Formats: sequence, C-alpha cells, structure tokens
Amino acid sequence: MNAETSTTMTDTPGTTARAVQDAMRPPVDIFEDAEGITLEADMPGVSKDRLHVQVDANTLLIEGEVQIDLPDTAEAVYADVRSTRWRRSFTLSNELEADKIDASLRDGVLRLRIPKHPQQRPRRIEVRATG
Amino acid sequence: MTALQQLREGFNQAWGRVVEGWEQLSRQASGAMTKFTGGREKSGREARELAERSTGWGLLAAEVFDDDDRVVVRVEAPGMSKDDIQLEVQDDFLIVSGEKHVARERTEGRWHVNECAYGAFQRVVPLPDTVDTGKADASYKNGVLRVELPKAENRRRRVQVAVH
Repeated sequence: MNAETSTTMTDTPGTTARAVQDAMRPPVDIFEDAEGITLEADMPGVSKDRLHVQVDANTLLIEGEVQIDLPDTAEAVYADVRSTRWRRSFTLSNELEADKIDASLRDGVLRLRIPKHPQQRPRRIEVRATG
Repeated sequence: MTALQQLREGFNQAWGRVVEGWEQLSRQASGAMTKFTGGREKSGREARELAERSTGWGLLAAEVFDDDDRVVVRVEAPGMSKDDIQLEVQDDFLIVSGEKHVARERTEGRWHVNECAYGAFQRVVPLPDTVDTGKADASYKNGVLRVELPKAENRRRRVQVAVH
C-alpha cells in the first residue's frame, strides 16, 4: 500500500453526545484498503426498516431504532440499555464516493462499504467522527 | 454456581474493570461491560488477529423483564451466529456464554478504528424468580438474544389469597 494513503479519525469527546440526548453511539470498526473503506457498526436490536443511513454533503449519518417486543405488563427489573436509539455521524473526505455507499445489515451489525474515487485512490483520506 | 462463587466472580470482574477498563468505565455504564477473552484454542494467526482487533471490553447490554408468569431476558450480542451462544441456568442466574468471531478481510489494508469487541465472553444475569428451565425458549434476531423463562409453577410471586 502507498505510504501516503492514510485515514485519520478523531473521536470527538463524549460532550457532543449532549447534542443528541438519549441516543447511544454504536462502536465501530473501520478498515481501509486500496479501493475504499469498510465501516462496521454494532447496532443490536435494529431491523432493516428502522435503519437510516444518510449522506448529506460529506457527512455520513447512521441511525437506528431498537424495537423491544414486550407486553405492557412486563416490568423491567434490570436494564443496562439506556436508550432505544443508535446514532453516530462521520465526516467523509472528498476522496470517497459517498453516492456509491453499499450498506448491509446482519445480526445487528451494519456494514458500509464506501469506495474511493478511482483517480484518487492513492491519495490521503480523512474520516473524522463528529458525534 | 453458589452465591459465594457468584460474589467472587463479581468481585474479580469489578477488580478487572478497575485495572483494565478504567477509561471505558468512566465513559460507559459499568453494568453492561463484559470482558472478552481469547476463548478456545486458536491458531497463531487467529490469536494475533483477535489481539489486534478486539478492544477486550464490550458493551453487552442486558435487560430483565418480570412478567406475571415468565421472566424475559434480553441481551444485545451483535454479529454472532446462534450456534455460538450457550445458555445455562444455575440457581437463579442465567449464564450466557458465547464467542464472537473476527470476520476476515480478504483484501490488503489496515484497521484504523477498532471499537467492537471480539472473542469469548460470559455474562451472568440474575433472575428475579425461580424459573422452569424445561420450558425455556430462546431466539436470536437482529443481534439480540431473547430468552423467555416461564416461572416455576410453585414459585409464582403473585399468590391469590381469598379474603373472607
């Protein structure tokens, strides 16, 4: 791989989470190769119809709603889950072809494949988390 | 598992959290944190890959619901196959064990961010009532494990008492 090719991702501290209260930040894995970037996000409990992936200018937003099917009579005696919404956004650099994102969801894991522009593949890519 | 073992395990986990998980502990709710370990024997390559990719600490959020005649446990365990999950009830505890495998990338490249946890894990969930394990039912959908445990007949919490 070309030594110049590198991806940076600066994680914004938790303070930004206040902007979108009651949404949880899904943990992600990001893998880069010569052709593009693969992003995997753990979003358990989200079904395909409640998943929202959007690119606005160079901002990638992933959102999902968790559905919990339970009768009204059930009473929560213990709960780690603090919210039923997942939400996180990233800034994509121009080297990525945002309109060619391929998304798949399986077993609560969202997988995004974002290709690089063919003519720009050896150049520097920046992915920055914004929240 | 005896109550004492349970307590010891809880203590060890708590200590492990203090030592290793401090940064994440300060950021996250501690209850959901689960230690992911290497699991069963692995080839050198697999072990290396796991060490590179896993953060070692994962959020495996659990919820326990108490309905009239059953206990419903919900555990978030994304990216697993249902064959990799084992369930066991000991005393009034549900023990969820499993292993999350690293998905292999075929292409040459490198990882920039690794926040997701991989490896073997065990989560012990206290149950609010005695359950009939013979009638337990479990499903895995959208990365969420859901276990329904009917309460044992003679141990239902709500007892009808006739008033004369």
